[in-house]
Formats: sequence, structure tokens, C-alpha cells
Amino acid sequence: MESFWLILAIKGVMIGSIYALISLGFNVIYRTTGVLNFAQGEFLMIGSLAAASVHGKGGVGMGTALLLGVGAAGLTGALVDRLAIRPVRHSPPVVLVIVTIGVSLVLRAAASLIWGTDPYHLPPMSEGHVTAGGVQIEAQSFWILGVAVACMAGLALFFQRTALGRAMRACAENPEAAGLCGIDRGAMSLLAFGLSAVLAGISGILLTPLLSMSYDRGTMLGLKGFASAVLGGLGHPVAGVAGGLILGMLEQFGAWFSSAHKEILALSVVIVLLLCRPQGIFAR
Amino acid sequence: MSSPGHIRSLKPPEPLPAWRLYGVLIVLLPVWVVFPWVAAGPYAYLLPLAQLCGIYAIGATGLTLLMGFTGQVSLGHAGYYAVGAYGVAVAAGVWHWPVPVAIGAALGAGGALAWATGAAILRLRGHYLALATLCLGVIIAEIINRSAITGGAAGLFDLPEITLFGLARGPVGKYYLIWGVLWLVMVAMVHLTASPVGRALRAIHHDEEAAAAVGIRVFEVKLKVFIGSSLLAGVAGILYALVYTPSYLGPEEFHLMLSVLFLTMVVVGGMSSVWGGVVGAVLLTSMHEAITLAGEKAGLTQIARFEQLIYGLVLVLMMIYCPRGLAPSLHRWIQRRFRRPP
Repeated sequence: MESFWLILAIKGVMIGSIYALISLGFNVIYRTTGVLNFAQGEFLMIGSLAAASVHGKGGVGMGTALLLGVGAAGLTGALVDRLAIRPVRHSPPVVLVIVTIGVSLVLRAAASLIWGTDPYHLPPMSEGHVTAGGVQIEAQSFWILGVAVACMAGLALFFQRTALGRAMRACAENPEAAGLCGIDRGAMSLLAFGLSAVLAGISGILLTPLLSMSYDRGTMLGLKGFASAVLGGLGHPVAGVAGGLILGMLEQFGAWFSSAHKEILALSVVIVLLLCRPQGIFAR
Repeated sequence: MSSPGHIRSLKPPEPLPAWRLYGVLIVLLPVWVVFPWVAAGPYAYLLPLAQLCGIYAIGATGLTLLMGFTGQVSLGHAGYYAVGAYGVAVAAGVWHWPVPVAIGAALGAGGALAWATGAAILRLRGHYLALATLCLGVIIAEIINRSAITGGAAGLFDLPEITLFGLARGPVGKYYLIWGVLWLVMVAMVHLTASPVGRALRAIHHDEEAAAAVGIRVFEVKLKVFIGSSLLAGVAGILYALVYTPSYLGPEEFHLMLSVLFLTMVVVGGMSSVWGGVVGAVLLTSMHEAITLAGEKAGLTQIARFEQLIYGLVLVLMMIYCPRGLAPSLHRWIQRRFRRPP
């Protein structure tokens, strides 16, 4: 019985790390531009499908396919910023929300026209599993955890130590002052969207060996990432990571309770948490 | 902060005198009455289309009231629409209650749900409210999709039909019934938005703190509007279940996409105009029909996906080039065209 709980916990951490990565992407855009990007899940889906299709049908090697997938997602993010976000940058939030919803529709439809509606698969990054404490853990789990931690650490270093990262943070703190200091806010917005889409692409590629991906899977994953970010507190990347882990656990233990209703349980808890702590669980 | 070319906010325009709002109703009344004679013979397919336009227009008008006038975003409106549809379908079709009782029960259930959920989530603002309503919509859709009483993914069959004592039989009668309800809704909307209540809603949209400072009970008003808006969605749902497709009701209609579609209608029509929801609903529903017909003619099997692409593009382009929506632009165009300069 103990090993059963352990499996649930491990699965929760896996899915939670994916949500955490998606929520990081949300926060990168939100902190830099103030835009809540409802198309985040579509970036994820595009990264995953691009990698899976060149690997499966094109016969390209795994490493190249992953790079291509992440590149495709990043390019999509940059294009979205240039074509859709830039023209409405000074509009009120409701306009920006609607624009990103429109973008998500366009991306989803474009993906279904390019890749069709069938699910795509990627092989795990390494086969086999590790047995620990009487539980078999798939090797892919370690990839997910490792890459997620590496992304978080890399992002933290980028925002704390590099001039570019500091410039992006300045845009979030005070856009006018950042502009006065000579920071190109348009370029920062472009960078934020590109970076965030790259993160989403990475999380999509990590997830595909576990879940398989099709053009309409991104939306729900984006919603979960969004929920994680809001759970932790919008604009606090570390809290968002914790939010992602909480949501992943909730879902897995919810699935134990009733697998058909795990989404309902997880989303209900999101609403309750929102009501109890609208500023995020970890905000002071 | 922003250059003059950009709009800074989408605040509703100043209230019009009531006679000018009624003007649109009076001008459009003959069009409504005459339409079935136009939609005959080879154009008979326009009647079911007009029915669906009317149903969506009622739902979208509810959202206009909430979003355009009070400034509260809802991404879960399809949920309340579904509660209306399934409420009446289960009460009348499964439990075999008399239809009027079933309608009352469905509205009561929708109103109670809106009251309970609204009282909780309307304390949230902006992005947080958007997320909470989005979650609610998905939860309601999931519950319907998985419950035994709603028929699950298979749906419900053999539902009764509303015929208004046999008057509203056939496509023409149904069309009159649906648009008759819409007409009543629009008269109520015109009254409401031109009244002190309408001004209170605008005040809340402008600035909640300031509205509270001049003595408006902000939360109470927001809750009432939320309930009213959800009830309108419920009415649209009831009409969908018992008038538009009386024999069958399935869960595929009520997904997240429908909430997005309602939002699109309101935005395209014009958030800050009483008529925005109607304009948007008629336009987008017709666009759907036109795309489907064009797709059938051209033999395209993937037409539904092109449609999503077009919806998305319309949303983005509208926000970039015409963020106030079509109804206000149309209004301005008519003014310029038919009024002499002073």
C-alpha cells in the first residue's frame, strides 16, 4: 500500500514539474509585459508536434528533433509578439486577453491543418526504469525532473545575473522608468514571448513520451499552467513552481479518489484556493 | 502613457436618450416580421439559421450586460447556458415534469447556481475572475459529460417540444418564438441601460472604488447583474434544448469553445453597445453557415478547422483595428450617412 502512495506522489511530482514549467512561461510574459497569455498551451503543443513529426516521419535524430521542436515553439512565440501583441500593447487588459485567446484559436487550427488530428508520440529520452523502495520509476521521470530543475535554475540566473535579465525585470517593475533608461520595451516583449514559448516547447517535448500529443491537447495543459501560476501568485515565478507541484499532486490524488472526476476536483480546488487566497498561496 | 492613436480603455459611451434606443427596435421590427417571407423556397435554410442566431443573441446579450456594461469578464458563460438546456431537458425529458414547471425549475436552478457561484467569485477581479469563470465553465461541462442523469457523452433523446399551445410549430413559428423572446430581452436591456441602474453599472465599470464612494452597493449590483446575465444564458439554453433541437441534446455543444464563441460575439459586435451581442451573434453564426456551405460546395473536408482559423483571425484583427466592435462603428456610419451636418 505504501508503494501505491509513493507512485501517486512520484507521478504528481512529474506532472507537477511540467505544470511548473508552463507556469514559469506564463510568469516570464506576465512579469515583462503584463500580458496574460492564453496561448501558452498552444506554444507547448507546437513544440511537441514539431519535434514528434520530424522525428517520426522525417526520421531526423532525436537530438536534432528536440532542438527543432524547441526552435519552432520559440519562433512561434516571437511571431505572435510581433504580429498580434505589439499592435495592441497599450490596450486595456481585456483586449490583450481576447487577443491571446484569438491567437490560441489560430495556432490550434493551423496545427490541425499542418499535422492533422491524430496523436503523435515521441520515444522516451532513455529507456528502462529504476527500482527504488519497491517502486519502478521510469527513466523519463528523471529527465523531466532534471530538465525542469535546470530550466528553473537557468532562468533564475538569467534574471538575477545578466544585464538582459535585469532589463526584463525592470520592464516589469516600472515600464516607464525602464523606457527612460533606454531599455527597448518592444525588444524585451519579443524576448519574453520567445523565451516563454521555448520553455513551453521544452515542457511539451518532455511530456509527449508520457501522454502523446495532438493539436487540441495544449489548451487544457495551458490552463493548468495558468492555474498553477495564479495558485502560487501571479508574478512570483518560484511560487508558481510550487503551485504547479501542488496542482500535479492534487490531480494524482484526485485520480485515486475518482479517476473520471480528477479534472473537476483539481479545478474546484483551484477556485477554492483563489477565493481563500486571491493573492496566491505564498504571497505575504 | 499611451499615444493618442491608442484607446486607453473601453468605457461605455454616455447613455443615449431612450427614444433613440427604441428607434432601433422600431426600425428592425418590420424586418423581423417580414423575414420568413424572404426565407422561403430556395432560401428556406435561412430559417433554422435565424433561429440559432436568435438563441446565441440572447446568450451573448447576457454577456454584454456583464462584460460591456459592468466590466466583469466571464469565460464560463457556456456553463450557465448548459445548465438551462440540461435543466429543462432532464426535468421535462427524464422526470417527465410538465414543460412550464420544467422551465421554471431550469431557470431556478440556473439562478441559484449563478447566485451561489457569483457570490463567491465576484469578489475576484480582472485576471483572477477570468480564471475562476473559466474553471467553472470547464467544471460544469465535465460534470455534464460524465453524469448518468444527463446521459453522459451520449446525450438525451426524445425531449418534448415547446409549441406555445401549437402556435410555434414548424420553422416559421419557432423563429417567431425565439426572436420574440429576444425582442423582450432587448426591450428590457434598453430600459435597464437607460435607467439609473444602467448608470450604476457604468460607474462600476469606470471605477469600483468611486462607485462605492457615491453610494452604489458595488458587490450587490455586480451579483445581480451576474445572476441576470446567467439567467439570459439559461433562457438561451432552454430555447436551444426545447425549440431548436427538441429531439436530442448532447454535451458536444457546451464546451469551452462556446464560452469563447460568446465572448467573440460580444467583442465583434461591440462590448459597450446594447446591440453588440445581437450584431455579433448574427454575424458569427451566419459566418459559420457561410463557411460550412462554401466548404461543402468546394468539397473541403477540413472546413471546421479553417473556421477556427478564421474565428481566431477575426478576434485578433478586430482587437487591433476596431476594438470598440461593429455596432458602435455601424452607428457612427449611419449617423454620418443620414444626418446633415449641423
